[in-house]
Amino acid sequence: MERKAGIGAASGIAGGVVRRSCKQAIIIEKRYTDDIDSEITRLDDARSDYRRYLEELINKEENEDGRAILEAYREVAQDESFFDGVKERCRCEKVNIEYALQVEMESIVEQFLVMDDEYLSERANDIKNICDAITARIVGISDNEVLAPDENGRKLIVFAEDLTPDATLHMDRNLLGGFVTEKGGLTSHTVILAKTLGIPAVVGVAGALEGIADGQKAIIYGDKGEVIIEPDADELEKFKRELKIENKKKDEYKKALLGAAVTEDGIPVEVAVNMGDKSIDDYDILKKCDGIGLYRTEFIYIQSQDYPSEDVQLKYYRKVAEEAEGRPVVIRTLDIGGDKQASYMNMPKEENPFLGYRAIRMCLGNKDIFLTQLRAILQAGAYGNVEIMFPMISCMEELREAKSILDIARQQLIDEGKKFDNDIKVGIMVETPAAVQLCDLLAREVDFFSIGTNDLTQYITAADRMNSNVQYLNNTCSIAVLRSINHICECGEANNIKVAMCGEAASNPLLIPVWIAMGLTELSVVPGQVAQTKYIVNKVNKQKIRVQLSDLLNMDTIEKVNAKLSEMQCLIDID
Amino acid sequence: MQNREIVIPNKTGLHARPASDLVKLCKSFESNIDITVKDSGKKINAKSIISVLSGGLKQGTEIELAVEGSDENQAADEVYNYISNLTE
Repeated sequence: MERKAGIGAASGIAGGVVRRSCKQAIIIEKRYTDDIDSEITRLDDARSDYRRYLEELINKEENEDGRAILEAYREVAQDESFFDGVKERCRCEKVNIEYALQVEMESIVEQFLVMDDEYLSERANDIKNICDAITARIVGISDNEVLAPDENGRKLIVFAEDLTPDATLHMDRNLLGGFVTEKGGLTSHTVILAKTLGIPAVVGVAGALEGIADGQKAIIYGDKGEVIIEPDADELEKFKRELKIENKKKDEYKKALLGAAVTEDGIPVEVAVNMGDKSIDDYDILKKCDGIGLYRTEFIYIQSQDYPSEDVQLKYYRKVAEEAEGRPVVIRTLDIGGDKQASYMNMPKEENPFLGYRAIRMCLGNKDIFLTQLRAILQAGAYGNVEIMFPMISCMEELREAKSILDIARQQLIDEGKKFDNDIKVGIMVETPAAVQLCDLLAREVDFFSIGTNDLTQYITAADRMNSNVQYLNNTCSIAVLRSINHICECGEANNIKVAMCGEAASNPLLIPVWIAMGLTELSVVPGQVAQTKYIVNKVNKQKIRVQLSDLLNMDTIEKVNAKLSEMQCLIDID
Repeated sequence: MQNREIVIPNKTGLHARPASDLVKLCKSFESNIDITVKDSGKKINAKSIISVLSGGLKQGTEIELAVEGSDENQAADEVYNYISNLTE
């Protein structure tokens, strides 16, 4: 038995037999030539051949991430400006084309590496992969490995120095159990692929290929980054146990997704999704959750050449209202301005966009634009369960003025005899410190609160989330933020209105129990997090966590908050 | 020639999908589109993915867009809008 350690890159565990994947090394020598034209033809032929190979893979690939990566590879292979440079070098120095390609590639890779950024190092790796594949084709070596099945039908654990994403996608997924590579970082495309395909992977294993042979038994633990060759009886026993637990967890996520989210002590929690980042959304998830907790409308304005008309907006709002099939759809009015705007808006550049003329402030200053949107949202209410939400409210006057414009919209629609929802629910985002301080008063005049944790955290901690020097402050676990959220929940409860959360923190596994204990009744998360959020909600015992809450809210440093959160996590029965 | 100044607004910067979508958008215009990094003076060809990636355009990087050609007005506006509205 032998153990190898690396970085756990894609979770999951797998057992099978070793399959070594060794690339043929290509040695490039410098040659002088006068026949530049034929050198250039060799390059162009190799590039077309590689492009055809990628296109075949793209057409067959069903996984969206996989396709996106292949398309990115194709794009680099078609980068005329780069390959013109290669041809130029070939012409000027009168050298063979593969040598020219090698030199240009190395110069680019070097530029990427000096930037000392993990992401760019991986992209340098992508460019190297692509140039290597083209070089192999120039010199006439095939580099498309075909995975032969194990004779006993066991899964293959592929051991390689490095794996390119196209080589990975080229492998038959039914045969594949996992990957072990010597190189590779966590942001490499191969790792991203392994994750989305659900294939366990361990990378950065020193001597991954040393002392192993095809056909040996192997086990890999994708979370821990552990690889075991020829496991003994104890290890095999342990593997079987862990495999059982893992399969159970997968089943439970699936089960959780299909059911309602209810805490262990019987409190229902709505799990909704955030949508509206683009014009086409995935509506499947909508049928497996409790509606849309945040529908962003900015994209409609940004993709348009001028302010979008009522009809254009109504078309989008009606579509989601209908797709939701009676589930609530909370449409947030335009949250634009300051740092984010469309060219036709012609708004002045601001020194402090996040403290500037944005969201509800800008809408109240441009009542025509606001009225158009409100009319569209009200009418969409005739086709489903639509609710309306105002962003960035920071005083009572703003709320009352926004509601008075909503009343004007209602009256207009009545006068025109148009169909709309007259009893539409109206809520606000609580995301400014001012709104937190006023939320006992604001609660009397709205139907719900929704806590936008991203902005709230940035405003409460007075730390720009885009400024890396102050990231240590911008933390939702900051006690100042947790106390604010608790206060919002108390005011909501006292006034008997719903309190929801729609920021990134809503799906944070460590914080979900805290939110439930504070009394939040809706978590609105990105579509990919619905299953996990529901699963965790099901495991939480609200009363058990609630008695810990005052302790948590009296921790005086972030370190102690984190320690307390981990302690509270132990009260939840998650395997 | 059309010039625009922009500060890269998004967390990812001009990496990954934002970079590749930018190149796709720029290729749809006939004009030459160049990006100059204000700090370093580095010039980037916005129609080349490798060039864009090698520019190291991170959040907060100040850049100048220079667009020249028959569709320079439209190209400058659309590229400006695209970059300034990046959120990823």
